[in-house]
Amino acid sequence: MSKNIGIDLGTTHSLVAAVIDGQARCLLDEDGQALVPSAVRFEGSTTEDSAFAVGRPALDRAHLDTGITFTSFKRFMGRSPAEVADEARAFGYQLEGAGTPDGERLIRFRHGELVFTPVELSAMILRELWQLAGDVLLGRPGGAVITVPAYFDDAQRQATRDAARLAGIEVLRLLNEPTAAAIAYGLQQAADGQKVVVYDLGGGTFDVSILELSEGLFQVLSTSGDTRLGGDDFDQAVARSFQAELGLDALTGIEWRTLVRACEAAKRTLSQADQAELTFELGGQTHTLQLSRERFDDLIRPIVERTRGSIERALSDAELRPDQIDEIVLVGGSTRVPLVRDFVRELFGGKAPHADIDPDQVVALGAAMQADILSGASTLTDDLLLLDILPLSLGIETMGGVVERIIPRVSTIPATASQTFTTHVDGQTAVDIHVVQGEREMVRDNRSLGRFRLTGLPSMPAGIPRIKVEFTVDADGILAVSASEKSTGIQASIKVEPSYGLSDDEIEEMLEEAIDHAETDFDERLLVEARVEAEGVATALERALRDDAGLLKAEEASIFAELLVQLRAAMAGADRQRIGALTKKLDEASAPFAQRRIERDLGLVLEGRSADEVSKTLGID
Amino acid sequence: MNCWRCHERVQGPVCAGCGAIQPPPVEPDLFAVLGLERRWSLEPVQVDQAWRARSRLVHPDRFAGKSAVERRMSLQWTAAINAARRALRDPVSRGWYLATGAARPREEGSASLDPDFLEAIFELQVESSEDPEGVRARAGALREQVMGELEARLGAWEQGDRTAAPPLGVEELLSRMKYLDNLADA
Repeated sequence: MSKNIGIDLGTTHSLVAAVIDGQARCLLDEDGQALVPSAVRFEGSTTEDSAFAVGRPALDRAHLDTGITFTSFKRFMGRSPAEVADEARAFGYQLEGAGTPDGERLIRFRHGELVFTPVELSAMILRELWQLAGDVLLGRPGGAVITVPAYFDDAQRQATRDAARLAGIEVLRLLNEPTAAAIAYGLQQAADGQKVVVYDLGGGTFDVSILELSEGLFQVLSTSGDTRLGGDDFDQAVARSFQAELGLDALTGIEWRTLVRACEAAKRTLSQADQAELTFELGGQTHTLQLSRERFDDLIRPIVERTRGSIERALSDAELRPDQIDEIVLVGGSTRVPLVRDFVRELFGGKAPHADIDPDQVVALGAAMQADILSGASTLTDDLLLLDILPLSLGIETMGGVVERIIPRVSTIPATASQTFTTHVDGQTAVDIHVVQGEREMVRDNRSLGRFRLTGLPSMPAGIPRIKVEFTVDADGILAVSASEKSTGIQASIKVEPSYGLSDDEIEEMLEEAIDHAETDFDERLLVEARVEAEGVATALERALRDDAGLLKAEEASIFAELLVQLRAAMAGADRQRIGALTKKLDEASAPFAQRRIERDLGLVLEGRSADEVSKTLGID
Repeated sequence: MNCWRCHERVQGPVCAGCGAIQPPPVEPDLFAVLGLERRWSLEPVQVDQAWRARSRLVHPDRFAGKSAVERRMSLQWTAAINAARRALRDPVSRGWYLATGAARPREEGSASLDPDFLEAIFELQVESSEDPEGVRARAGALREQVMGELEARLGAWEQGDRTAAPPLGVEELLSRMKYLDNLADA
């Protein structure tokens, strides 16, 4: 059986891990490295010449100005071009199509003739990790658990899922990063009601989360942080201090980076020693400097101090005092710095933080453990169940731009809510529903997730139709919407227009283009397996269609017919991924029909049941 | 009921024999969704325990590798138990559900209130800017009184035929609780 993997898709670097012989381990590349820099480099700038590199090779050539190296693109996932304009400028990325409708909806970076979305760049990292896992595990992995920050909203989670889909990876679950870290430490075995703080200080971001554990259930109580605070700030502070000391006023970009790199090396030394020596060459001159732990601590103290406000906010959101915290978990390479550890310890009344596991690896290891548990054949434990909450409320726009909350924040997910709408004009056959996420009263102050357009409503006088719209948030925190008109039972059809990010059609298009990059290491046995599974699903559906045509909705009949034709055609070919994708699509599309048959057999069928409704998610189905 | 897959008798959301998840109940009774007896006197921890036990059975993580129809029913079940827990955990909203047959709405209720009571509330609201402590204390005392009344009526109902509609007046008492909660929290 193929093995499931855990992926930490990070801002500065990413890792992949798996449970091997009952032990979670990070998988190492040929050079013995677990950390894969989240960097993608393109050498050329034309569509013919688009040689690229991913990970360390991309970073190693980042200083050359012949091409472009993208880093930190996780910061841009699932966000709107307007929100990130400043940040894109800071990273030197050129945003495409500002002022056009597409340019307002989609973040696209331009380099010469080439255009990239953050989702595509993330997909390239994921594909690299997937291949690394395949090489180490000697076989294609089954599926992946991918971690995301606890504060990620619907659009950001959806973008992460889209990236996985582009990379051809089956996502078993999106897992919150702090939860993954707590799993790696086995904290689910802690006593009931334990409160855990996860302090995650990475290279460029700081996150703090408070979790509550009870009988193997994990709940995120609150989360806070600073997206522009991290270990890179330590290096810069030290570099600025030496720059002033040496009287180096005008440094070129490369000289500055040389100095910063030397300071970073000294920082690492100081995690173990009290004194570090820096040697670097500038302008043909070799400098050798000493950095004491004391001076280093003085330089970085104001930066570390900046994490205090976020921690206090997280505590107050969770309605807790520092002395009510039972466990502290350190995540992120920057928590190796002794001053950071002392600061955290002091903040929580001298309680020693958990730091035995490599803080760079702890999230990936937890994800691997969860992936193993989801395989249903885990040797670790089967008593762990993660229950997550919705980080931000979901609401819809009502009259006057006011938000009506439909699922409040901190609701345990999956969650559903339904709302009845009507029409304002006689004979109106379409209704627009604008879905937003956030806590503010007015629509304009929240994040717009998308518009659902219900069409094909029966023509009736204004106010008569009763359109029941059901909102469902799944275990990954992603929203789906379904609708029907109650008095006539007519199924409204839903068109989804995401406010930001890729539409379903755009993803499909990218997938078609990506076929060129499809794995060449395909394996005859896997192809045979895919065909057998496809045959099973197709035959079962064909039989059901013959036996129970009466339970079929009009729109379902044509969808199934088309998918069956596509699947049969794919099965005749040798593209295993396409067969797999179509099998999955057909299985999912026909699930409501299958459920109706089960309910009919059990005598449970009622008019207007939710199972009768066509369901469509934002962006992806 | 018999399992849709193996046709053995099945109790609860998941078939003990073959592990198949069953369709979620139509028109569910929120107590039954959690496997609880229909009653008012329950501790929050009892609701939580029932919810946890059900979560372990029906959560989507338990059906990660299963067919789409099973994953779909698992999602529906889990959403249903989460909603049931939300509606039943707090005694006032549990009472509301018993009295009205619907989960307590987030917005203000529609039960018509006794004018004397509304007048008392109005006075308390006016005074609360001058003497917030005193108003909180008086609202708290009134709340205790209403709670005692609720306990008496629902307690008596619970001793009798629980399938019968709860006694009259409960809905109004619950509406009063909401006003008093707002004042006590102010």
